[in-house]
This record gives sequence, structure tokens and C-alpha cells, in this order.
Amino acid sequence: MFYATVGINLYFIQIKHHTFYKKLAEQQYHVTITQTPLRGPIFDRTGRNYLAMNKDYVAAFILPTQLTDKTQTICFLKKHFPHAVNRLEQNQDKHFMFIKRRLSPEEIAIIVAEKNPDIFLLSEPGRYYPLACASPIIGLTSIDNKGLLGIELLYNHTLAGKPTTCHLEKDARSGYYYFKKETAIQGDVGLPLCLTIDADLQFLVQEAVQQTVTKFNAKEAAAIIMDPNNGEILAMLSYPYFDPNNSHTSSADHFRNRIVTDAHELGSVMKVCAALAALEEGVVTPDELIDCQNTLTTQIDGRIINTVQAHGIIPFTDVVALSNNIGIAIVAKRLNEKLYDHYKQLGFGQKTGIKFLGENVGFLNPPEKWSKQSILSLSYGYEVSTTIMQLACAFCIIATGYKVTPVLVTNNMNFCPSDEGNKLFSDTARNTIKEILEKTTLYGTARRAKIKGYRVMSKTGTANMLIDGKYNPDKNLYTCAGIVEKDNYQRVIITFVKEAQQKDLYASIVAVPLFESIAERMLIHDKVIS
Amino acid sequence: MKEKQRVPMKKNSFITIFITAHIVLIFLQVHKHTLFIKNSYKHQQCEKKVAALTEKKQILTQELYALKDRENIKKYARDTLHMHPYTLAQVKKLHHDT
Repeated sequence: MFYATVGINLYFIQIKHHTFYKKLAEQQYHVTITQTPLRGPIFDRTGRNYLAMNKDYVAAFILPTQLTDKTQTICFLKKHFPHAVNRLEQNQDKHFMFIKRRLSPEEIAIIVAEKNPDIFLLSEPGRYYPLACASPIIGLTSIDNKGLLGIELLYNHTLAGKPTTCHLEKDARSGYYYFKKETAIQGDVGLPLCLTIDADLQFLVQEAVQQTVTKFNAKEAAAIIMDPNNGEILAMLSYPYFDPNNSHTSSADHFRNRIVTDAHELGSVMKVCAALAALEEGVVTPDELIDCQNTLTTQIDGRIINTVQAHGIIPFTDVVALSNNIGIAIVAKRLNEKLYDHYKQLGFGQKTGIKFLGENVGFLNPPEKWSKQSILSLSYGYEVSTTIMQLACAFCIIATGYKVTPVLVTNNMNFCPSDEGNKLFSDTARNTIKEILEKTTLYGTARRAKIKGYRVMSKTGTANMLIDGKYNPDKNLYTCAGIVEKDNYQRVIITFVKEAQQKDLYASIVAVPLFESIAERMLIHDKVIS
Repeated sequence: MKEKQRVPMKKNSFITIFITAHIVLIFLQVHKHTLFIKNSYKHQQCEKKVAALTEKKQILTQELYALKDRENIKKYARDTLHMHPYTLAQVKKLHHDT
């Protein structure tokens, strides 16, 4: 009887359910695992300073269908993780449920102290960002460590790598270890990325911007430092910015990189471009006397033009240096539609080519849509909305004569002027405009940007903001754009401040000291000492 | 002359040698496999150690960067060391005449 029972059982195990038991055994002996590679870190231009690094976060989870002491677990969750209780009620038949991901050290301590056998801890890969002020550039990753914004999103493929799938042969007692490993799908490691940003310079710029924002109680501010010879962005600050290590506490508005995403009518700073166009076309000479009518308000072609300070008959150089709207409008009229072509050539109304998501192309009113006012407005920076990035690129052209594509990631193949075609503007026109800008810094509206021993060429712009179709004189944008030179050293700096709370302010008081402060810090940092 | 007669190997001896040889071969095969598993185990232990050390390095690097926070360093320099920021005008270039 006994042998018959054994025989029948053997028949069922070995013959009847052969496939089932074979599969069961194979499942125990053959395991397939997928290993996700570590995400590549992001470094600054020195390759020494981390801008984004890997960090393991801890998550807590439960197995709702296998709870040993449901009452006690629910009681614990109600006390410390009330959100999880609601989810548990809805997911009681699920095999797995997260209590909370990215736990704080305090929350981990509470769970560990509780010693509840139903609650498990799991280590999950995440990111840590040591330089918070670079957050609008670098962006951040999602809770699943996938790029969500900025460089993290744009270069997600490179940084994340590809997972590797392996077949392991093991037995019931081998635990962590295996006998044999076969790679089924070969993945790639996550590659590191080196940005053109200098972490120290970025921090110094952040300090200067923070001081200006506090001083004038401004709503927003931005600053950029660019090398005009290769288009490398050395610092790019957009204020306010979010805390990438605590992103859920930040407002959605803080996630934008305003330098690239926001376009504004920047006002008088655009006079530089109109003046460059006029000099290039030969419709004016630097010494030509322009009648600015010694008034604050006048009419040209029946259109009213206002200017901040009245000037009489002054040379064209002074028209730009003293920022007279009437004078620049008179000269711009000689250019007419050619002004649009030159603005296009300087890169306004089109993408700069920077590899960054969400770039705004701005707006440049085309001649077919012009009114009688348009040519006048365009000359002093209205009817043309530009990003700070576009303005920086235009100043790079003024600095070198060549068009550069702004770059954020170093690849050692950046633009070299000698490889590029013709210069966009003649050296004569460029050198003249540079001299005019130098005079603007020496005795014009940008006097506070002067730095002894260095050639500083800058121009200011104070523009009313367009709100509900009307220009609001109480809400302004303050810009200072310029070039700092010393022998072969050249840097383009743009500073921008939006909506300072005090009234009757001008860029010469708000944006120019910021320009000077950034330039000084940059020169000390770069050890360019006169 | 009496020719030396070749004595055929005894059947038992042949079987003994045959079986012994096979046992030796099996033993070597098992030994090879054991060595392989042993080294594989060592290799995996090393891999595990590398993973643990990488994780530790990651934690330490992150702690280092948290300590190297520029804002904290600035605060320490200003409050504890009573240092002040300097301006460009205060920086002088030294010319070494040789």
C-alpha cells in the first residue's frame, strides 16, 4: 500500500505535472535581474566641482496583502503618515504600496524605532545638487531619477545610461550570490557631463544679484557672463530660483531660466544695435551733430517721442552715451527697413542656438506690419522683445564681429572665430560703437560701471513694462549690457533687474552697480589684475 | 632460444586502473568546478565590497559637498574669522624683475 502511494505520487510529480515542477525549479535556479547604472554626475567647467551628484534616498513600503498586524500598522501610519492610510484603504488588494519615498532622517528614525515587521525600507537612487543657484540651468530629476528639467532633461539619455539585463544561476541557499552570470542585454554606464559654468563664478554672481534684489526689493533679476570668443556661458543666474534639493517647497515660477525663456522690451540698451546699424550703413558718423531739440517731448512724423533728459545739438556719440531717444530716432529714420535687417543679423527674433529647452525667440516687428511709430520705437528698444540670451549674443558680435552659438556643455569643439566665415559687421563700425560704449561708461549713463585699469564698454536701458496693453511707468525693467576687456581677455556681461519697488529709479542706479559688482568679482576670480 | 612471452594484463588490473582513472578525472572535474565556484564567490564578495565602498564614497562626497557649501564658508569667514571681502582696487600685481 505504501509503495503504491509513493509510486502514484512519483507518477504525478515526475510525469503528470512534469512541466509545472520543471518551471518551478527553473524559477528558483534561474533569475533574471536588470541593473540600472548610476546616473552620470554633472561637473562645472573645472571638472572638480560637482553640480549634480548621486545620493541614495530611503523609501518605506508595505505589502498590503501580507500584513501580519494590520491594526498596529494602520495605527502607526495614522500617527506618522496619515496620507498613506487613505491610500492603503484604496489599495488593500495590492501586493505593494509605498508609504513614502525620499524619507527625511527623522522619518527613518521613527520607522526604525517602531520595529514594525510589516514596514520595510528600500534604498532608491536620487540626486543631490550642491549649488542651488545653478538650479534653473541644471534642472532636476523626478522621484524615479529621470531628467525632469534643464540639463538633466536635455541630456537625460547620456546621463542615465542604459540598464543591463543578466541571467543568474543560483540555488535556494546561495542568497545574494550566484553560480553563473550571463549578460542578456548589455547596457551603458551613465556618462558624466561637464558644463561651461564656473561654480565659483556662479556663486559670486548670485551674491551680487542677491544684494541688488534685497537693496531695491526687486521682483526678479538675472545676470549672465559669456566669453564672446567661443560662446561659453561662464555664469548664468536667474533669480528667484528653486531649491533643487527641496523642490516641492518652491513656486512653479521659480523653475524658469528667465535668461532663455523670458522676452522683454528692454528699451535704451537696444540703441547700441540701432547705432551699430547706422554706422555700418554709413548714414551717420560719430561726430555728426544731431539736433535733439533740447526738449523732453517732441513729435516726429506726428508721433510723440519722450526722452528722459533734454539735449540740444550734440554729436552722435553723445546721443548714444547720454541715451537720447529723439536723437537716435532721427538717425534710425535714415535706416528705415534696413534697421530690421540689422536687428535680424544681430540675432533678434530668432533662436540663439543654445541647447536648452524652452528658448523664447522673442518678437521683432517685421516691416510689413510697421506703423509710422515702429521705426522710432525700434530705435530705442520697443516693438522688439528680446531675451537676455539674445542680447548677450548681440554683444558678443559687437565684441568680436562674429556670431557665436551660446554653449553650456563643453565638448572641446566649440566655435573658433578663425574657422567661421565673414565678420557680420565691419571693424570700423564695431570699433566706433565700442568707443561710443566706452564713452557711455566714462561719462554717460553707465558711469558707475567704470573700473580703473580695464576697458569697460556698456549701455543701460530702463524700460516701462507693458501691462494690459499699456506701458506702466511704475513698473520697469533695468538692464545694463557691456563688454569688459583687458588685453586678450574679453567678457560680455548682462545684468537685468525687474520691478524694483522704489520709484523714480533708472538702470544707472539699479543695473549698472550690479554690472560693476559682477565685473569686479569676475576679474578677481579670473585673476585678471591690471 | 626461448622467446619471452608477453603476459596480457590481467582483467582485474585493467578494470581497477580504468575505474581509478575515471574517479581521478571526475575528482578533477569536481575540483575544477569547486575552484570556479570558490573564485566566483570571492569575485562576488569583492563586487559587493566595491558596491558598498562606492555607496560609502558617495555618502562621504555628498557630506563633503554639504560642508563645502559656499554660503557656510562665507558665513564662517565673516563671523568667525572676521574676514572682509576685498575690492579690485585693493589687489596689486607684483612685478618680479629678473
